[in-house]
Amino acid sequence: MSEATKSALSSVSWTELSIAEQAARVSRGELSAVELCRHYLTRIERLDVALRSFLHVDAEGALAQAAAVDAARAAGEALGPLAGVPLSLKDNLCTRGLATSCASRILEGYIPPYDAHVVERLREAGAVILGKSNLDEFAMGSSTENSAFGASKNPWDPKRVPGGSSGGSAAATAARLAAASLGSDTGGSVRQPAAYCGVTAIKPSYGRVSRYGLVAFASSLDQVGPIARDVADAATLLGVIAGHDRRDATSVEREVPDYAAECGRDPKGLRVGVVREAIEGCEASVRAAIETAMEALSGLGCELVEVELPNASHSIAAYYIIAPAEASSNLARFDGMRYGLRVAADDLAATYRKTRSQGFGAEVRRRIMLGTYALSAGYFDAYYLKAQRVRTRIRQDFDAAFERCDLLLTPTAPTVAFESGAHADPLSMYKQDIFTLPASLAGVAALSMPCGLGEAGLPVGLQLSAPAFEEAPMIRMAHALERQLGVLPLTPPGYGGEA
Amino acid sequence: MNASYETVIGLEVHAQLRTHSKLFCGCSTQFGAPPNAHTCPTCLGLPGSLPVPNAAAIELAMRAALAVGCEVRERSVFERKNYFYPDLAKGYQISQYALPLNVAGKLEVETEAGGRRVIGITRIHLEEDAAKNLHSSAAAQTLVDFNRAGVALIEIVSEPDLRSSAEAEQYLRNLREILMAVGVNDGNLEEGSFRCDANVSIRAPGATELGTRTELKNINSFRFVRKAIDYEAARHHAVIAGGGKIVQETRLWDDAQGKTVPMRSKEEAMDYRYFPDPDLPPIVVSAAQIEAAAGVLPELPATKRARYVAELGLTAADAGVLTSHPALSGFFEATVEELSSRLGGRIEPARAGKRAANFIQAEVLRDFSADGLEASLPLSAAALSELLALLEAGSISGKMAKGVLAEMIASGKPAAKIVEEQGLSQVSDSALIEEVVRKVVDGSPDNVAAYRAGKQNVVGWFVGQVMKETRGQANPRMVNELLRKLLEGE
Amino acid sequence: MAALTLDDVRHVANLAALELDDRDPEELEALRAELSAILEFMADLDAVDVTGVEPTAHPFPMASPLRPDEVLDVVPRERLMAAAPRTQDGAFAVPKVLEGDS
Repeated sequence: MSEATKSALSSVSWTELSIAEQAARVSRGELSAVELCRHYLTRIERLDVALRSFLHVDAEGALAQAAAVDAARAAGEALGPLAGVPLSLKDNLCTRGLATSCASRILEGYIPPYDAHVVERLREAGAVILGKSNLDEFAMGSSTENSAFGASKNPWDPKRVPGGSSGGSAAATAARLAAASLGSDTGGSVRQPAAYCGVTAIKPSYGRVSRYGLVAFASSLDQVGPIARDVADAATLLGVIAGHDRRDATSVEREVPDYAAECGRDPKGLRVGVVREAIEGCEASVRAAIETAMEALSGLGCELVEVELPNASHSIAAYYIIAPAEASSNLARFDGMRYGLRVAADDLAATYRKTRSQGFGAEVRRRIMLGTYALSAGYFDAYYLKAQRVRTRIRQDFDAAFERCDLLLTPTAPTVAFESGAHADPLSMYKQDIFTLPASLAGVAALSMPCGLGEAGLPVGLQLSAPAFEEAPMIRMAHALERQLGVLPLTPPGYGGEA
Repeated sequence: MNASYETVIGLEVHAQLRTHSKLFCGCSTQFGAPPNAHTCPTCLGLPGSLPVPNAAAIELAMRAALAVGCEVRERSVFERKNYFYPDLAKGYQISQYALPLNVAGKLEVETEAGGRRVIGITRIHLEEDAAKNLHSSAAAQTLVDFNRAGVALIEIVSEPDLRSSAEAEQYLRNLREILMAVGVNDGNLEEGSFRCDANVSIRAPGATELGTRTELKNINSFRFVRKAIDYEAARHHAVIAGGGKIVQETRLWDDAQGKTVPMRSKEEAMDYRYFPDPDLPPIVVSAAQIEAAAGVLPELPATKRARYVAELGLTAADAGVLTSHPALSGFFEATVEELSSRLGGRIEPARAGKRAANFIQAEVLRDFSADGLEASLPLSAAALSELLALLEAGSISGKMAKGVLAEMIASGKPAAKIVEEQGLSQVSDSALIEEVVRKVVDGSPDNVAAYRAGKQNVVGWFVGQVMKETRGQANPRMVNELLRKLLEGE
Repeated sequence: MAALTLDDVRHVANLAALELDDRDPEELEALRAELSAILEFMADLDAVDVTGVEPTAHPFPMASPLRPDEVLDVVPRERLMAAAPRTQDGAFAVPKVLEGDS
């Protein structure tokens, strides 16, 4: 068999390799990082027209990074745990020298002068950055329809949304246009798109991963999270990006366990709390898939208990006051003075107004208005302070629930991926976040994994959450459940690894 | 002081803290660099940047607070003050609002009647400084330099307890002096490291409610303080006497025109929408840390002055001069200590103090210069104390000492060496002096007669002759004593 | 929690430096109605008993870490200012600021 044939045959399965295996093969010289990178770039060129998951593809930069990995290997240097692994990054993560637009006209063409902390970690680990993924503008949204540069599609069905705000990251990962991706989660923005696209994502505990270089949406909620094809890959990525960073005062100084090593460990003995209200509150096909998963859990020797999060239903109201309030302040720096769009106008005040009104899309402007109102004199106590108190109650609910179980289980979203335009009314869109919001408000760890196919053959996501900094047992459980369910590999039709 | 109204003044001072780096990032605070040379993603408010507080800033803010008797809170919170302005990179300033670091202190001032009054300090909190707007030659633009943006400031807010522009000036001088003495601020008004805003209102004498106030911004020199406040109080009076109402607004002092002018007023009072900064967990200082900070507080200027008068023989005026700069008081105290030690402790503190004070003021002060907290003196305290010891022992005269000092400064040589080289030892041997005095007196019977006839100032001639004979080295005090004895007695 | 008036909307837009198109009253009213509906939904929070509960500013009780007072050289000025819409003599050039303070 010729080398070319061998190569052609084996490249079919490169996209099915775990990222650990990709890195291992690159490190052993069995797989050229440049070849691997080219393979993904070719797929992007061919398939992303239909998905629009990428905002910027940096072919030149990616190939140069890959070549550097290959050269290092040839020189006998030690390579990192992600050597040659091609990744995409949500376009609200600052990448030095590479456009970072946050899917907004106000940052169109903006090139950061520095790398986000997580990007530094990825580069140190030898990863190759293919480009930046589409998102809802400034991470505000649950469908990626709010991108100023066009919506992304769900690879399972182009009439449907990939979810949001990290829709581009989830779509690219599901379609094998990147080995994995980093997104950001404020109210469910890695978990829900993962659920809609049939991939796995982790929202780390607040403070687990540095926010330095993540363009802030809601500072007390934002976390960078991995989106990958399975639990093992998500765990591998989390292990690379987690840990203390002196440049982020909210980043915690706690040891990072070996998350990847949790995969394959026996979860027996872990108690799983089921939030019955959540399961009953969702669409029939979602419920069916979740209940199947619950049976599988019992089969693994894990006790299921019923728990309640009595204040969880109030998380929508609380979140949609707190997040916009913080966002209204975080986005005040986009004023046309030092970077980004500046619209010429008669005077200073007009410059501010025109720049911001033309630069920000409708949803962003809406949230800035809501947030400004919630913080304004006369309303601060009734809205912002009240919402933060309700948030404390929600935290207390989790504390109480975790006294009776080690992990909580809910669906990730009440339905499978919805059709584009289905939730044009903002309020109806906000209500889709009902299951992911509570963990964000409480700051605990959460994970979404596919647990089956539901209505119209679309993926259903299952969410596990764990007490803060207990990602390890959560990963252990998720991995075992993933194996037990045997749902993976999940490949959207037409996006298989055939090049 | 106008009898028809009482002026009520509250002062807000913004003082830059003497830290090497800014409050929330590692950029240098050094003054005078080219525009934007000291900037980074954080102080420029680039997307994705985050603040991390500077430990030294917390420490200095605590020290300032303790120096004016404030209570330091163990838990304080940074909040965001939201508004749009080109000198505000993030569209908000990180400050402290509901839970500031320090509360409830006080400062004393002297009243015009000569008594003392206590002025309350409401709070001292930490915040970041804004960028500087520079003028541009181009008509429709302003240039912004972010070197200053993010520098650590403390805002010191007084109660509206001040009752005159004179008190206000005193309060500012005293406050500045204290901050310099504890090493928190360099007192440099020209460079803008110590800035003041004044809130002024008037009311009928004896009234308890406050009148509507106006805010005078950025009063940058002690001269302007009094002029601006006096003008503004009078303006309030004129408006009210004319049947009008004071508009609550912000005004600037225009020194060229000698009046205050309104800043472009906004229709509504600004709503800053303060809320705790989610990027910054609370600042927690332990009781032990607060105690430790209090323990290393140096002696404050007012206490020093009182001690100088009570124990070191100085007048209030002397004390005032010598505490006008921390380097000067340090120099004075070291000189006194060294002098005492050189004389084996056999000199009384008051005498040592007085001698040092007189000599420093007369001969050394002219060569003292200061730039902020940096200062230079022409010689060391040790060197000076050696000279003063010689003077005290009578080995040289005061006149000789001046010359020796000049040579010490020029050459760097120690006093004793110079005295030896120049053969300047003062003669204090009474037998020797008596011999010379007798010789001169005996050699001039006409002048003796003149003296006895009432022409007292002919003594000067005799002294001159004795000095000539002894080449200026006779101890003048002894010469005078002996001369008078001989001229009068016998 | 009352509904928003058009004046409220204008006031908030002003605070947020956002422009409202006063030429299209229908659109303005639509925005007002939309924001009102969302805020009315927030009345849901009234149902929660929060007596004795402190607001959560940060998810976990933390004390801020402090940085040593060191000068760090992070990024060269040219790179930091590369995205500026306009500069002059090393400073950011912005539309004229009229107030006297600085």
